[in-house]
Amino acid sequence: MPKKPIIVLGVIGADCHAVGNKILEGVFSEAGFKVINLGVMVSQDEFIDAAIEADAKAILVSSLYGHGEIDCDGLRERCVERGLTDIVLYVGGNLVIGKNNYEATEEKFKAMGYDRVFRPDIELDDAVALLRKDLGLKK
Amino acid sequence: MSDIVCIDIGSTYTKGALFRRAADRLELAAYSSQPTTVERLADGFAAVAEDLSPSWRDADLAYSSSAKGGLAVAAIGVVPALTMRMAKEAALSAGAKISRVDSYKLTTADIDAIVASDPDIVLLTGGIDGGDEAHVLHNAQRLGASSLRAPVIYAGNRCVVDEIRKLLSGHDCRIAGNVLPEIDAPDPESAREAIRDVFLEVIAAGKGLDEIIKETGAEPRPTPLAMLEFAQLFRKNASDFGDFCLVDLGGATTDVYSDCDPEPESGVLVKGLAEPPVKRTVEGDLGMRVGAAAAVEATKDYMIMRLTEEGIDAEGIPAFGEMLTGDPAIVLEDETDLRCEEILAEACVATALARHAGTREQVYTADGQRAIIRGRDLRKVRSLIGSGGYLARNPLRPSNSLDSFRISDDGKERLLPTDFEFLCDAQYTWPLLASAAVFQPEAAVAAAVAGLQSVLVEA
Repeated sequence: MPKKPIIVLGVIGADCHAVGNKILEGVFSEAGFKVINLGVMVSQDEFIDAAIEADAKAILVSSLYGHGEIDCDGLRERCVERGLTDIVLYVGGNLVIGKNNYEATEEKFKAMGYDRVFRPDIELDDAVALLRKDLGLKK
Repeated sequence: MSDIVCIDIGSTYTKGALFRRAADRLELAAYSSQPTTVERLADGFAAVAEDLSPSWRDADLAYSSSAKGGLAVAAIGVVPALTMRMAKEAALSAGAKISRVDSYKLTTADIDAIVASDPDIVLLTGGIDGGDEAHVLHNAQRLGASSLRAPVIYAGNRCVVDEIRKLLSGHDCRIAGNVLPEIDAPDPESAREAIRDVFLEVIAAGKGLDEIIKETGAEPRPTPLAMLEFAQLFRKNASDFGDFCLVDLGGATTDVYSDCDPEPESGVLVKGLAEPPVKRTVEGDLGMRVGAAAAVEATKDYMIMRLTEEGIDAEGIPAFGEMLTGDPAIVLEDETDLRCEEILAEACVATALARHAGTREQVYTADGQRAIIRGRDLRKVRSLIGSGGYLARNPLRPSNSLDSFRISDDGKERLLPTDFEFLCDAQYTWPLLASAAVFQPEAAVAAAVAGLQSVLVEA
């Protein structure tokens, strides 16, 4: 049986929203990924520690309480410093307070080094397909 | 029923006890202590055994050793908070002392330092199963090409076991189960067993224990392993005893063993690797003689505060530490020296407990405050036991010493015991009862509990 691609998942910073996190774990597991779910209130280093030991292909960061920018900033640089320069980084959730201009939010987080930025109402199957594409996995 | 002979070969003294079986109890019938005969351990062993009883060969025998440096393990992992920590804890729970800890990819200098630290065993770990391979392959290649003579135990990513064997083909290489097969599933057992097997097959001979094994047919355990396995018997055999903590204050190190069964609190997030029920930590810079100079340095702030309270000039304390380290056989007589020694003991015990205990912090989230707990929760500990040469002779007066350590430098609450009784292993029999437990676990535990002297608070 071919090895399942490994991804690390969690809710970043002082954010303890747990429900969406469980749903994401379920959807990505069903889709054939091995999901290391670090749960809630996860620090940048905790994401990276797990990604190193697991040789993970992607880190999926959730942020739901609207203050994610400050928690998410610096993760790409930290990945580079710690030897994961090219790891795929996704971020999604309620990244900013209020229903601001999504394009502006996406631009801001892409500038931080995230490969894709997801709105809270994303179709999860679409997210799975995009991840498979970004990781070069066969259909 | 035959008697039980228990012997512990320490670095300085070889101690023994003859236990008599009396109904379902154990009675201490004889005790002996002789200097350890370092050139030939079997001599001191025999002297103690003969002193206990001329017919000691008819008794059941169990013994332990921490002589000749005990069991030294060099631990290697990848991420410090994950596999490196697991490697270190697996070694400590196998009764070893850690000669070196390394993480990530080893350099030539790292390899040289590992070899120079003279480990008995190198424990190589890293990568969850199916995870990272690069680090362990790199490290195995470096170790394989080095002048290292010690056996290597591999307890990392199981997917590269074949390549690891090849890279270490010129060495005694053992394969154990991964200490961290999944991120959230620590599993040190297989590595612990491998360490024990290597100790008996390879290391015991080099320490001069093989003569004793040949003569008696009995195999030794490293002393700290005997103590840890003894601690693991309490929950089952002394269920009233509850959570407890044992501090073994030695000349060179302070070891802490704890058995914790914390109550889960709702709404509290527990972070980090799961804690095992019984755990051992070793503080290599906290000791009463060989380790005194380092201990004085490590506990400076506390010592200055206490000495000032007692009206003793704190300026002389570094010299005091150097004096004890320089002359470990020294016998103190001066009143002030004895007070300083007592304060040093307090400092070592409290500091070792503070390092053993975990932390709790309040975090402000958008949903209000949440508490996060990391590490070992000692709050339910009711019995704090002091063991080791110094505490057996000088039961510490309970003080508020732990109160100085309740808040960590970064403002977190340390999960130290709050409501506890301080007890002393006054006859220094616990390491020997740990051996007796091989034959009579229940009775040994009962004897250990009964032998504890309560250190009453002075009015």
